[in-house]
Amino acid sequence: MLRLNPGWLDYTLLALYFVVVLGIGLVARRAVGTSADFLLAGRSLPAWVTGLAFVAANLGATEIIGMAANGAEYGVATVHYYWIGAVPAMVFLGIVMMPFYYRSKVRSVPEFLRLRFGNGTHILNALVFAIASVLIAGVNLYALAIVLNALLGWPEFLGIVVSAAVVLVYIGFGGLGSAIYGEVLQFFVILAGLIPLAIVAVRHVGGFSALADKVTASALGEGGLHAWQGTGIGDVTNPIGANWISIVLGLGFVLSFGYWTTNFAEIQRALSAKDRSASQRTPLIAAFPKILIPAVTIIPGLVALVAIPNFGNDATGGLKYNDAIPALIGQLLPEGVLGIALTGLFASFMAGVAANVSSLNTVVTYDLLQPYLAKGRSDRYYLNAGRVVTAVGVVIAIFTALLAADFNNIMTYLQSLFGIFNAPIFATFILGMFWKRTSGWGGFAGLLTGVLAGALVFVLAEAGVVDFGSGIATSFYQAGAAFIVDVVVTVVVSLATAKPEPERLAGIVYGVPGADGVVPTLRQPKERVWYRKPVLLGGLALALTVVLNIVFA
Amino acid sequence: MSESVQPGRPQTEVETGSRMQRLFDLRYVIGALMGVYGIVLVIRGLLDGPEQLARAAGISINLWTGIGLLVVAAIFLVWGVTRPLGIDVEENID
Repeated sequence: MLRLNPGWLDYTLLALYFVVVLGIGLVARRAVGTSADFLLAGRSLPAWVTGLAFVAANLGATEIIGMAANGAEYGVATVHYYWIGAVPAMVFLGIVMMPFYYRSKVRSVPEFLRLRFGNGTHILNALVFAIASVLIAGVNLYALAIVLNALLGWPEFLGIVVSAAVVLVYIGFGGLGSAIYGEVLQFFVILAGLIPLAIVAVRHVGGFSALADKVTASALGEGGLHAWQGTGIGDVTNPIGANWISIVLGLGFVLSFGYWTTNFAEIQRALSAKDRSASQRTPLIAAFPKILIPAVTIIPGLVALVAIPNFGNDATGGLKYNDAIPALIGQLLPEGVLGIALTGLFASFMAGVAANVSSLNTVVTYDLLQPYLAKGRSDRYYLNAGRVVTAVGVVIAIFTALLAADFNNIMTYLQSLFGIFNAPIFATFILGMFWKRTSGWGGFAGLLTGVLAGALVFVLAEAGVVDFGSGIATSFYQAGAAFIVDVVVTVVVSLATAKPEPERLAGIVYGVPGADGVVPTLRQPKERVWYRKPVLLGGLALALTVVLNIVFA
Repeated sequence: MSESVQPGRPQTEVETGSRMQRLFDLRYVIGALMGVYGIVLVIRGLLDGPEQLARAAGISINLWTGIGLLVVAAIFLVWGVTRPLGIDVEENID
């Protein structure tokens, strides 16, 4: 039974959080005068704010609850999602790609494709992104409703509508600025709930060595304590069920680079930084919390596995893997911290919804309305359009959430499908940024065939024609196929078609001077203090990751 | 919003933060919320009896979390007071 018994104090702490978030939205409303204020936060935030928002935008509750579930199901190897599957890509984004994004002065990721490859690729990417954002926001809302239903007994519909309304108010008033401020606040509240939970959880099972003994004795076995052991080719015994090559290339390279370096919900945070150096530091600052977050997701997952009888066997009436964090909150936290943890769960669900909605309104307004559907209107028109899109997006997300309640499996499939769209796009960006010869048709054909290749692998695996061993391994191979096909087709078609016109390349491709005469290179901004040097920050993050990988190998 | 031009001053473009930042400093918001949470938890922790302790595996978790939150709050408030907005403007070198 998951039901919590929060006291009046817990509800007060939760209510206080809502008041502060809504207050940010109302005050931020006064900061919005133009569509750029609303959709881009005026491009003037300091790096620590955009950096924490960058990591919080990914700390949606589906992520927290899902990673704790993975921790219980796959053990310590879940760290690959962080140390292999996120940090290298974040460092690469900060040092290599961010200078190009920021210099090009694009307002969104799809807009970069428009500058570089033309309208076809642009519309394809903008549409897919818009649809995906609404659906993912809906999935987040639905996940929140399930948790509220289990923990507090709220009807699912009530949970969906109340949290959607809060998100709508603070983003609808303050736009991206209040979304980002809200995310930074969420970051602290989420950790204020999860850190005490992890500490109490470890103590509950008798400390770290007792936890390790119990995991070894559990269904996971010895492999559940190691990230790399048992991932040898042809001899996979690690619970994660994938060999090290598919982990490094599939998860570490293709999947994570596709997500972290091109997902506009993330890049948008870095684009709203006040200068190029701050935009570069955004993902680098975010990398440090990202390295440490597995401590508060995987550890509760492992504790739930060993401390809750019959955990993970929902066929025989046990709790589901996804219940790890909610169940421990209910079992271990007394009134007070319980309220903080509950608030953290709310905060993380709303972070997921807010990040998707605040990137959706930018893409719809600047990538679909302004260039195609409603050209040449006044800025006031686009500001209002941004507000209307925000409201419509939230309403569609509510319906998506209600739909997900009835067709749970469909949503799982849809999410896998968007994974397919994400993987090849990194190839298109890298070729577009660093290879002058990449033509508009090359970019378009590569992206399209890459998506189709990923979809094909997905369908073949679902139909049982090919078998990669586990769902995770399948997604790695699927991403790998999409990436390779994208690269090959982009190169072949580019060489077969006309060279791109020079003005398509000016200022946004490596080594091609822009109209202002500045040549885009990888030269890093000169900063006087060490903690502002992007290469140093990135190097530190990577070094820390290497050390942790060795410790937990 | 009129950005008034001050005569007699060099008219270089010094970015002092967005309108958003000028409206309110996020550091104070973080400091205030964490501070209030911290105070509430410390008081609750001091009142905790054996029942709460037993639940949390013997740790006085309300008290310790409260203290942790107060430290975080203090860091942000001190940072906000010692480095007010508008000083941190000279890193615009590209």
